[in-house]
Amino acid sequence: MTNSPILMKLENVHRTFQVGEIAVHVLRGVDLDIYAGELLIIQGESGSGKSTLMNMIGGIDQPSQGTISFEEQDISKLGDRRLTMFRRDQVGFVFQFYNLVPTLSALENVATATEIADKPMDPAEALDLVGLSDRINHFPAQLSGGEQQRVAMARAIAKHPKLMLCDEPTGALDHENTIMILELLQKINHETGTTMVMITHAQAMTGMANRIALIADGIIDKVSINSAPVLAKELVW
Amino acid sequence: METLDRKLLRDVGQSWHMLLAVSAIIAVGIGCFVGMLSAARNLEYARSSYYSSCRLADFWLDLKKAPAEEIKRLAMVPGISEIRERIQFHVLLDLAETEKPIGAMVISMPDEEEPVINNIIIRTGTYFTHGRANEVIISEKFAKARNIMPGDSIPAILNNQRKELIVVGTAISAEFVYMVSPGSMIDDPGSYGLMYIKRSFAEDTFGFNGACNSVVGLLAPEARQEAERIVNSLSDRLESYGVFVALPRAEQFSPMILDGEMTQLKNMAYIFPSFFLVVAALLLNVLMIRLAEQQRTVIGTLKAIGYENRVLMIHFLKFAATAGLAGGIFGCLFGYWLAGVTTKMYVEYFTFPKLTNSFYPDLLLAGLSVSIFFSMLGTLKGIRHIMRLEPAEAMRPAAPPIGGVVFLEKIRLFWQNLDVQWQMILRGLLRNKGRTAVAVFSAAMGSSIVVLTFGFVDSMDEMVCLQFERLLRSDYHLTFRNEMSFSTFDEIRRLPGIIHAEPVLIVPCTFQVRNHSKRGAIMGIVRKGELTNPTNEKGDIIPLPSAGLLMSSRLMKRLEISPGDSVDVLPVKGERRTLTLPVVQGVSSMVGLMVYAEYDWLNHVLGSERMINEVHVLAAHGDTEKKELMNKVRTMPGLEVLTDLGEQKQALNSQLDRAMRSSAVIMILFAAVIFFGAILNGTLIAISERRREMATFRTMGYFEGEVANLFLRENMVTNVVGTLIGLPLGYWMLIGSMQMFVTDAYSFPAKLDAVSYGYTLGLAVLFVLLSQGIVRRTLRKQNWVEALSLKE
Repeated sequence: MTNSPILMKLENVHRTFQVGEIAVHVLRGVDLDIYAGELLIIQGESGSGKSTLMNMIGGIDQPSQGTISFEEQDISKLGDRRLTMFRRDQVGFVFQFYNLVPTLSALENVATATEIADKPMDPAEALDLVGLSDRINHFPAQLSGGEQQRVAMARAIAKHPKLMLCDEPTGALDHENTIMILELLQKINHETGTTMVMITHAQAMTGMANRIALIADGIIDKVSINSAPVLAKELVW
Repeated sequence: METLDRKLLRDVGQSWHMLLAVSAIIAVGIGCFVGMLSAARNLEYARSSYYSSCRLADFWLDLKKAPAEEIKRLAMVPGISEIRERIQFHVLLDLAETEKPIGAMVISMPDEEEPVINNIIIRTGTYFTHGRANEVIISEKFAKARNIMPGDSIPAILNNQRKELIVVGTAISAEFVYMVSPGSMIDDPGSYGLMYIKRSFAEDTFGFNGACNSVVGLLAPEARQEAERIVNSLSDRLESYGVFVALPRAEQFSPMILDGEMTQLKNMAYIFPSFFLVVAALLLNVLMIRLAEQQRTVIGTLKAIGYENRVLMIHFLKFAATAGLAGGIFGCLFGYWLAGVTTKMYVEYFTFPKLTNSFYPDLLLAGLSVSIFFSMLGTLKGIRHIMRLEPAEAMRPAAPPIGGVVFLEKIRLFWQNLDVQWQMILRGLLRNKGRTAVAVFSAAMGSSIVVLTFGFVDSMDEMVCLQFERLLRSDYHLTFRNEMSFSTFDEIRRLPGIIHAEPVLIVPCTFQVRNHSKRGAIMGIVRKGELTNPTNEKGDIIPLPSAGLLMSSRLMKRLEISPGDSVDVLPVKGERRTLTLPVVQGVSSMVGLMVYAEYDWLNHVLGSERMINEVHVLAAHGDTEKKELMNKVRTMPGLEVLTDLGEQKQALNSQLDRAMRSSAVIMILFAAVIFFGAILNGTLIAISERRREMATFRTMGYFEGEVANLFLRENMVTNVVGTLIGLPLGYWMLIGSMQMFVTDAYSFPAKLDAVSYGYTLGLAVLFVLLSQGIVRRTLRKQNWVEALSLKE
């Protein structure tokens, strides 16, 4: 995968939060390349800065210092409007707690993404891809956790993003559903070539990644390459 | 400070925006309550001291002419404690600076100052001196408007003689706290004056030696409840002297108008604020339920560690009381200011020696109590919610909201054409029925106030239009003291500048049907005339019947008769025999209780030869023609009053412009507080509940404006629906208010132009759009990244 072109490049990225009079340095100079089509897993202890890093990559936060470029274009200093367009056109998010709109059905939740995207998938097709074609008219409260996360994934892929960001996507699921979600993510990665960046605590999941970045104290401590990723169902827990 | 109180302070700090919105609504409500009641009390206190210092009469009788000695003997009648007889006449003044003669009422006063009934209070100059017979004390307002000062002289036509009156002083009297010229609807101080002259001078000038034509009296305290009966018996006793008017104080024009104003203020002080307080209580209810849900686990934990329900109840009651207290305090301050403004406005309309705004601690206390009471009322449902929570259950997060279809989805063609945002909004609204109902209700209240306000303006415009463009189309009314022969009419018709003239005979009389009786007058006008056209409530002209009466619907109601019935008419003057006349139809009458008849028919039933006592004319408007006409009118024998309808219309319009339009702006601002308060309260609660949802949208690439639009659409739906409901509500309120204003002297049409509905809807949309600014600012301040990591 390191032979693939670089989709996103983070150089000397710092992020400082002002808490009262104290400046909290969460990221202290992150350098990271993300290659097109790879599945990158970011791991780290609680408070190591992985979620902040994910927010930088996804364009929902901006660095205090350093540059982030996407397809060689600097996105670290974009205004709100262009940053929103970046998220709208290029990024799909999958959250730990699904973040579905409770008053919308599965199909309608996916439509919230397709209605604002350029040349999106049909929402029903996206739900079909995640195996929910028989649940399209169900509301979140009528779906299991795994099903809700699949709707969230359908919502993310329906707009054909180049980059998909998953923040602990299986953190709230049981084993069976975890495997199902991981299989789906892998399937999307393989079949559509969508670049995936995933945060997870689960060591076992690293087996399916192309690369694993370890973050500690706000810097990338180590990046290891997995030359033979396994299928999700073959992961050893 | 107890820990729970510390929690309370922080809860208040976190919800201050929403509490402020509710407090603002409470403040307006309490402000109106305190303001109107304080203004009413200011009037009441001023009136009470004014009436007692002037010794205001308990009854009035206007007669043709009666011996003074005979009148003085009435003091012996049981129930009467004191009687005063006097001479009074309408006269014309021949002021040099005015083109047309100005009207005035002369009233006799004792030559030597003494504390008579309906006494005057000297404001500048002095009471009469011994030197000159022709001294006059004039009303202060008229003197100010005409820039007349003690020492000046006023030429007046008194009993067809031109006399110079020497002004020795200006005065006010409790008898004329509010005064309008005859036939007018409003107080125009420069157009009509009061002239107090010496009794001896009045006797000589009007040929009233030992006679009088006005009787005022005081009743013994125990007889005041029977004022009407005593006045009627006096009237019967004096019938042979020709009684034009016999009224107890409650029906006399100035006290009646003042009483009416105070009653309206007091009524409004209870009705109007209740709109605001009910809306505030409902909004607080939504806020409290939200708080209870938000703090569910906290409440559960507190209960689990041993806090009693009572302690928690008091804790949450205190939260709501904060809004009530803040609203109450601001409301009281606002009310005090409002009372000041209102009282200042009354100083313009009413004449008092002293009318000032005072501080009434009991009213402020009442305002605070009402405010806190309503805020408590608003917490009841939320508190019940909290009380019912079992600790074990409460410590677990609430069940997720139930999904499912709403009824609108069954209308497939409609539903399928909506975008996802609309579907989300409509589902949300229909699932949160209670909250949606509060939003709709608030908008309905707000819009009904706006409709009512536009309705007031439209109704007043309609009144001016009906009165001056439909009913009365003449330029001038020339009123004579006594009946004149038809040749006077011919003479007027031929005056320079007269385009058209119509003869009028006004017959003061008593109407009697069974045990109902009412003093009034019949106005004889020509059939198919151009200048005076009785109309119905809608303003459609009602043709004058060749025989029979057209009677004011209000008078018909008082006499309990219907068209086709007959009424007994006893004229005050002339032969004084009772006539039984048929009532053909009811007519609208905004000023007084009018009764119309065909001119020749009226003369015929009275057995008189075409007499007149008023002429309605249409005159040329050119300066020279007007001047020439006025020069002739000035010297016309027997002319008592010249009414300039154009001037009246103008004065009425300008007074309405000043009074109505500024109060309309205030009312609309009040309505805006309801709209803004309800929208902001609702939206801020929604934002706090749906932060995660909004954060997800932002993360997915929705612009801030697109997220804000979700709230905009939601607010638009509730407010437009509420406003539409408020439209008929406001109209019914308008009809109710107009009925509340009806007196024997006035009635007002309830009119609402179709375009006013449009303006109301437009304003509601504008309020939603304006409040969107704050919604967007709130959204901009949200920390989306933090919201995303919130656990459900």
